[in-house]
Amino acid sequence: MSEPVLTVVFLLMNGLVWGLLVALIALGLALIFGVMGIVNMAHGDLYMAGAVLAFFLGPLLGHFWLGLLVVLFAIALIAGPIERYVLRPYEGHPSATMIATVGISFILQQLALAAYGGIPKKMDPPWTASFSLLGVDYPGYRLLVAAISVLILGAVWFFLYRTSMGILVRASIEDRQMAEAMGINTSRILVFTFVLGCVLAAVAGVMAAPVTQVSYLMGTDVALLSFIVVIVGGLGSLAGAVITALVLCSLEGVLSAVLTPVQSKAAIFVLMITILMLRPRGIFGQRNG
Amino acid sequence: MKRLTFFLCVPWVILGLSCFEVWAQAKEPIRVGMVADKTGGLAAYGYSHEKTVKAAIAKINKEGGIAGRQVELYVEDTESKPAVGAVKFRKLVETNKVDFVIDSNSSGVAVACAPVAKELKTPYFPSAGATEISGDKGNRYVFQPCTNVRQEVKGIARWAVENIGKKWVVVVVNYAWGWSNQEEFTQYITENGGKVLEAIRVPLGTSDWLPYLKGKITQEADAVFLAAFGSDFLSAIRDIHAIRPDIKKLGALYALSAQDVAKIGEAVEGMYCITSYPTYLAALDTEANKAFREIIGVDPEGKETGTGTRFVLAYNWAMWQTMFIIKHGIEKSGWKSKADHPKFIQAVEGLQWKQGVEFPQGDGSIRAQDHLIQTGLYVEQVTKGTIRVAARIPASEASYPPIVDHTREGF
Repeated sequence: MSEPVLTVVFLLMNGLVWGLLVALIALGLALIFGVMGIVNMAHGDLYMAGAVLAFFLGPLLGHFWLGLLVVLFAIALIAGPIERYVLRPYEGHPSATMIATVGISFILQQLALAAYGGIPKKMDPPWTASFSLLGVDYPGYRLLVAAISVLILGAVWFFLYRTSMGILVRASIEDRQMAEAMGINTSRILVFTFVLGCVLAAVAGVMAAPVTQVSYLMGTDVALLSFIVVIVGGLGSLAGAVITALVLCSLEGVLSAVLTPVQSKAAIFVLMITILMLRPRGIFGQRNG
Repeated sequence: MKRLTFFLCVPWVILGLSCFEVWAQAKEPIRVGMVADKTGGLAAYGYSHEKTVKAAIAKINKEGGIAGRQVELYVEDTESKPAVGAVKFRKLVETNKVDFVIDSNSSGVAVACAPVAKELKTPYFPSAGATEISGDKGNRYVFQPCTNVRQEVKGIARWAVENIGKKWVVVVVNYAWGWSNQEEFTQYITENGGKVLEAIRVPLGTSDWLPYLKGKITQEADAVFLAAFGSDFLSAIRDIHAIRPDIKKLGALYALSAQDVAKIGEAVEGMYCITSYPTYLAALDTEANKAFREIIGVDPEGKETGTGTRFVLAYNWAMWQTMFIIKHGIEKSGWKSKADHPKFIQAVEGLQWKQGVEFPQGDGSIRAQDHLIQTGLYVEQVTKGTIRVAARIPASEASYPPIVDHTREGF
């Protein structure tokens, strides 16, 4: 293969690795919106909370992966009461829940700032091996993250499409009133979905921590990207969120071969606007009614 | 009789009030505002600058203050954002009534604050390195008490072409300081017989630099000039090493600041870096520097006393020295209040100093025309997990003709 082709293939692959992480975050966002109709403005900060907790817990527990498990449970314990006591009272009021999640976002950021400080820090990866990949000494940890992300996405798919609880969640996304009429305990589904969505973001944060910079503001950019992914993919469409995350991140990577970094980021926004002008409900969005 | 008594008393009352005002003014503290980057991308710099400035003010107050007046510090967080910095500058002057404003390591913040300084007629001493600060974005109220990018790049360009390589790829973070580095480095490397093959601007806070570097650092390139710091630097150096492990690297000013080079390992080994203040005491082993480090709590290896973590030494000396530039400016001009700012500015224009505890970085001066410090530089190199000085650049080599002449501007 010639050098330019190698470069494009590499950038495509590297974009996919990051896209898989974004897919985890966006999937959580899409699940929460799909079932609860809540635009979770704190989603990026749950990703940040995962990374910051991992930064503390990794060295404390002496094991990165054990830290990931603890973070998973910690976020679940935080997310459950948030849904039940902060968001539930405003159920059915999208603007009120949106403002409530902005408040949660602010609280999470300020807690992280107080506990972690304002200085972005790097975290060592738990696996330092690297591989020669298309002319680059590629960090093995990123490939591992990609593999784990695929496994998690597969597990979520299996849960949603092959388990009875997953069917209940999908039924709630399709038509919550009908699901309630059929005797489904949607209250339980709401808590479960919110916790699952938050945990997906936090797990992505833990795995991203050694790749990216851990900072109390690290969720801001990711949240924006995730919202773009969910909107372009089609609000509430789970497959749409995953596919769009992979495509957009790969595309941004490839574009950076021919455009400047700023131009390639701008190009993604232009693409988003164009798609939404042509298809306002997103690529995989269903027409209501 | 009553009327006569009244007219006799009036002058005494006026005199008494005037004396009271002078007395009150003499007792009133001198207020210094600090726009520190306490959070955001430059938070490490904000922390160390604030600590250093507090130490300088404690020393000044302990020794009797400035012209018999104590110094009070007011600190505001810029969040490392230009727009926030400009708002906080205004708050310091209008609400806290500060007399002078110092800091922000961010060139973006400094450039945003410069016109506010002029509007509010308040002397401003940022610790940011963009050339424009002492160029077309500066004004009579803005001083640059730290070396700027043009000085740094001009100073090392000849040495870099002779000792590192001729063909360069320039990689910078995408904001004012990075742009300055790209433009100045390209100009001076070319003037010294080198060539810039490619220039890449990467957004601040980028975690994955591979998409922007892959295919751009070709085999033809001898070296990379990298203008990034903090965690951006770590991500960049890791990914440059992944693409071309054999390529030589030169960091812009303070790229290595606060980095634990032994921990970074192979990716940073052999890398050069421009600096205006050496990381290790051994490279500037003077009594003044030793005393300065002890006061601000930094050990001979550049670690913070107590925490043992690497301390950001970038431009700390400049913020320390700024407090003494203000002190000397006030004493030289007889400054009493904001009304005396023109006298103060004229006193600082052309101010010279000799190395001492107040000026630990070395002999220097503030050039009158463009308000830019004139001082020497160092090139450091990472060798076997430690940092040593590879070259010393005299102030004359770094100096360039002033871009502007503020002395012709009014107040």
